[in-house]
Amino acid sequence: MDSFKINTKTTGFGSPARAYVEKRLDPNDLLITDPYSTFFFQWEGEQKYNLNFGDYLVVDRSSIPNEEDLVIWSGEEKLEVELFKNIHPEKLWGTITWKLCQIKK
Amino acid sequence: MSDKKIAIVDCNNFYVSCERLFNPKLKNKPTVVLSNNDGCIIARSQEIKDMGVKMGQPLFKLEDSVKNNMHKFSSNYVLYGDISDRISNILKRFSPQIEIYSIDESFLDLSHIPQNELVEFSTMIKDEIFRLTGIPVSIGIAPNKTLAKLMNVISKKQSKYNGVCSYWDGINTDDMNIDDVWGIGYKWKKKLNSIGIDYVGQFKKIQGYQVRKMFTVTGFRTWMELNGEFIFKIETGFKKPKVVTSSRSFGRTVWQKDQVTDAIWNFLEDAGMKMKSEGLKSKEIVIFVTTNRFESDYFVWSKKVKLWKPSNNPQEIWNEISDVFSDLPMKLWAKAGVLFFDLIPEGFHIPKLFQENFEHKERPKVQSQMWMTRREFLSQKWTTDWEQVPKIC
Repeated sequence: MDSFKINTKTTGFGSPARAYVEKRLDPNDLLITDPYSTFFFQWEGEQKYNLNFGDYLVVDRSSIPNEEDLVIWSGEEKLEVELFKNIHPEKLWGTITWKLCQIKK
Repeated sequence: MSDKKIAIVDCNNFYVSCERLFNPKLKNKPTVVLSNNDGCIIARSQEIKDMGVKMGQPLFKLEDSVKNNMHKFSSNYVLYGDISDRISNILKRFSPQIEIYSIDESFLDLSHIPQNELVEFSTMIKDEIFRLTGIPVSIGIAPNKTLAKLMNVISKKQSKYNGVCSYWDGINTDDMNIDDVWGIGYKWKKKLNSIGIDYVGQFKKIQGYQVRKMFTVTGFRTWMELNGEFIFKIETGFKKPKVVTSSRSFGRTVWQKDQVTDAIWNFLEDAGMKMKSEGLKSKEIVIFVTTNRFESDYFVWSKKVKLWKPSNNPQEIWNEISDVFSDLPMKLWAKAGVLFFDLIPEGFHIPKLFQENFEHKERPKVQSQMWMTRREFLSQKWTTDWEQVPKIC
C-alpha cells in the first residue's frame, strides 16, 4: 500500500480553505431529529393556529409535547390539529415541530 | 440449552395497521387488505379474524352481508415498505444483531440483556415502536428462533401477556399444535399426524435419529431447536431474491394469441420493475401459460429462454422471446406468467465475444384494460410523495 502513496503527487497549490471545509447546511438537520418517527402533513383548512392553507407540517411522533404545543390527534373520523392541552393525551398522534410555508409562489 | 436470547418482533396485522395509521375511523372496524389484483384477502384486522374469514380467501366468495360490512384496501406496498423500513431502523437501536426476516418480522439478538430483564426490555421495544411509528407489535423471546416464534404465537393468542412472552417465564410448549411450529408446513404436519403426533411435546420426544430419517436435516434442526439448542443463526446480510415472478389468472378464458402476449408483456413490465428495484438483471426466463387447473384436461405450456443479454428491460427481453409464441397451441387459457432466474447485479455484465444482435420486435399492443392491475381501493402514498401527504384541516 505504501508504494502507492509514494507515487501520489498533488499538482498545483491546495486551496487555503481546504482545512476548513465543513458540511454545507442541510435543512434536514434543522427540521428532523428522528427520520423514522417524522411524518409530513399539509394544512388545508382556513387560517387557524397561525397555519395558512397549503403549509406543510413536520410532525415528530418522538417529540413529547407541552401543554401549549400544537399536535395532531386521532379524532373519531380523521386526524385533526389541536393544542395538546385540549385533547385527551391518549389521542395524541404526533407533535407538530415545524411548519413550512412557501413565500414565493 | 443455548445461552442465546433471541427475540422475534412481529407487527400485528401489519398491512391493516398501516392503513389505520392515517385513518383513525378504521379503529376497531373490520378491515382487510387485498392481494395485488384486489382478488384475495391477504391481511385481516382482529375483527375480521373473529368473524372467521380466512387468510387468502377470494373476495367474491364472501357473502354480501360480510363483504359490504368491511373496509377494503388494495395493497399499498409503497406505504407498507416505508413503515417497515422505519421499524427495522428503530429496532437496530436495541440490538447489535438484527435480521429483517420479512416485511413485518425481525429477529433480534438480545443476548446482552440479563434473563430476568428480558420482558421489561422487550416491552420497552414494543412501546417505543408504537410511540414512534404507531404500529402495534408483539414479541416472543427464547433461546432460539424456533422457540421465539412459538412464544410469539402465545403472546398474540393470550392477552394476559400484553404482547410480550418470554420462554424463561416457565412457558410450556408441549400442548401447542405441531403446525404452530416455524417451518412445519402442511406436508410435514400431515406426515406427523399420520404417525400420531399432533402436539409439540410429542414431537420433541421422538428419537433424534428417527427425526433425521423422516424429516431430513431441516426437520432435525427444528427438532433440536424445540429441545433448546441454538441452530438457526441470525442472518444479518442482505438476501437477494433467487427468482422474480409475475403471473395472474385471466379471470376468464382467452384463446387468441394476442391476448396471451398482451398479458406476457404486462408481466415483463411488472417483473422488470421488481428486478430494477432490487438492482438485478436476469439471464434466464421461463414463460408459462396454463388452462384451468380444475378442469380434467389441465394443460401447461411453458418455454425456457436463456437470454443473450442479461436484462431487466421489458423491450430487450421481448426482443429475445417474442418468437417462442409461434408454437403456442390453441387452447382455452386461464392463467399466464413469467419467472426470472439466474439473477445478477445490474452492474455486473460480461460481454459475449459474439454478441448476437436482436432486432427490435414490435411490442404487443395492449388492447384492453384487462391487464392493468386492479387497485380500486388504494390508499395514498402518505409518506413517500409530497403530492400525497395527508391533508389536514
